[in-house]
Amino acid sequence: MGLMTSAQYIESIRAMKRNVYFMGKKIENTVDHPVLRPSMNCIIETYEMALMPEYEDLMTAESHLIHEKVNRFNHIDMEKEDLMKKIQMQRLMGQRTGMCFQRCVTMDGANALFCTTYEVDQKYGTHYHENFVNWFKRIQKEDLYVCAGITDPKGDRSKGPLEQADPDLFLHVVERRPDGVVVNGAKLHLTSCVNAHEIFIMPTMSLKPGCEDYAICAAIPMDDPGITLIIDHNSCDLRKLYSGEMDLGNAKYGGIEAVCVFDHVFVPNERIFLNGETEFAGILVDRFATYHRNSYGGCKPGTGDVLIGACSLLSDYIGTGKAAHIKEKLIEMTHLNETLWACGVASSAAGHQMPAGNWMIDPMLANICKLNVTRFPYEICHLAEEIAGGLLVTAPSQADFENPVTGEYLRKFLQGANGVPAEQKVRALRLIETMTRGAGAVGYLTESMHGAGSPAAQKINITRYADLSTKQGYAKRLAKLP
Amino acid sequence: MLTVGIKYCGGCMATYDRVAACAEIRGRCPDVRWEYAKEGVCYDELLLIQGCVRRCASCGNLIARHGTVTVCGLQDVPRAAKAILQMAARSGRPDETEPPPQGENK
Repeated sequence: MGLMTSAQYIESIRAMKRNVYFMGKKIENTVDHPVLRPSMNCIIETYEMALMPEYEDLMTAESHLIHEKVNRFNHIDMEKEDLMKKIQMQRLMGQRTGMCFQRCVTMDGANALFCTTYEVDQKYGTHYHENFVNWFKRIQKEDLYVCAGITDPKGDRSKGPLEQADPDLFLHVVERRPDGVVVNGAKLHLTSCVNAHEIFIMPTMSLKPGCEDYAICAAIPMDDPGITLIIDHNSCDLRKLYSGEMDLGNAKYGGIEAVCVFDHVFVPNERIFLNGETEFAGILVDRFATYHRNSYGGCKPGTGDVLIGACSLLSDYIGTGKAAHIKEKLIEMTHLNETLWACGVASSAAGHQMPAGNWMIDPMLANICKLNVTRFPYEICHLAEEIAGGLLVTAPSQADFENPVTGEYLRKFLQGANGVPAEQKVRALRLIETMTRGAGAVGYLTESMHGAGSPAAQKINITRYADLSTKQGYAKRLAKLP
Repeated sequence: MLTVGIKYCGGCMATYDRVAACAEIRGRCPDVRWEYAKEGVCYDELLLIQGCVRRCASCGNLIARHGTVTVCGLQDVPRAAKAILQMAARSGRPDETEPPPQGENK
């Protein structure tokens, strides 16, 4: 079938009948909903750019499964170079959208599944790799978008799945049939799920023997009648309903997350990629996390590029561009941003090949990358707010600019340096506002903190990979210690 | 007529407007057939539009009879256009029977 055009993608989502709720109401048309459409625009951008010659080299790749050009978000990384092109693409997308563009989980999950299912089959003689490859070939051929359901609600966080008061607080198998399984439960924080054709689910953590029903990984069509999506209500999202385009800062692009409920959903055998092999649950999610933590070394520098650009632009607009302290702040923002990029590049460059044949990101460096991502965007935003000044949070609305009485005052008193019109200055401020404390901050800050695992998760992995005993050996040798 | 395949890098850190640079070169070379380069097709020349000095556009599977012209910035536009014009002027002459090795960079 080949790469879809954006029009084809939009109509494919429009044709899907799903159970979607937002602000207490069932939403029949998510495509044209003003709060939800900006999120879809990010996905649309991934489809459009794949068809543009000037971005094709990053946005597409030759699939070793179907021997056709595919969107790189649907690509298995079979060359080491793919690990670098992955984050280059992500930086580019961050620059283009100024926010989380929401499609990375497909490739990160697919690569984790490709190598893990191979190893499960090697050990247990199962057919998960064949299931996955057959399913993913179709995803590639039809250029579909797959979102990921990883995080369980977890209930009492001090207890494992079997000890919960309600067993459904971790998604699990509730019925086994000859032709498949029935799953029940929910997944949280599902990025862009209303814009997806399919979802793959996987365990959220390592599992012990006895938790076989929770060791389930599978792919499910997004329009399965047992799935209900409850869209999040996040920072400044409703501004899209009542504010002018200027007030949004980044009017075209947005993000949404959702609670996804699986109410006794049947999954046929051919769509199952792990079913009871508890020892591989932690391996699978750890590999997904490794790929995904590397991804942040691409997307967040790209988003940071936009914020740094907005601050630089604003300082020119208000006549502070030559001030030493402003230059110092822009340098520090760039330093932090490029450090994130350096970590992303390093984790790609130090990748290694898996037994299945695809390339894996270096796990230590991916965790270093992500741990830095949990911190540096906050400092970058702090510096952005310093540069922006108080008008960042006190600017009047577009409606006041359009009012003949107040508009005249605002154009006079909010004008910038060297004839820069007031509206131009406020537009730059609004972009900074959305990225530092508005709808864009959901992706740039909180998602940086918790996406692909919270800081504690990275620290656990850093401890695992730190190899302190080898480092002790270096010290002993030099200090002549036993 | 000389056939030139155009290949862009992915543009993640482009330091200049690559599309405008390509359009400028095309404008200076009117008697050339231009295509976006595809694998398996043999072009007379390849025009690589690299967004920066890293030059990471993948072109190993692209084929050109007479080699590659690479642009890494706007400063390369005149040189690139001149090289393509010279090749266009030479193409079709009887003595142009043996192409130089593929990948020779101008």
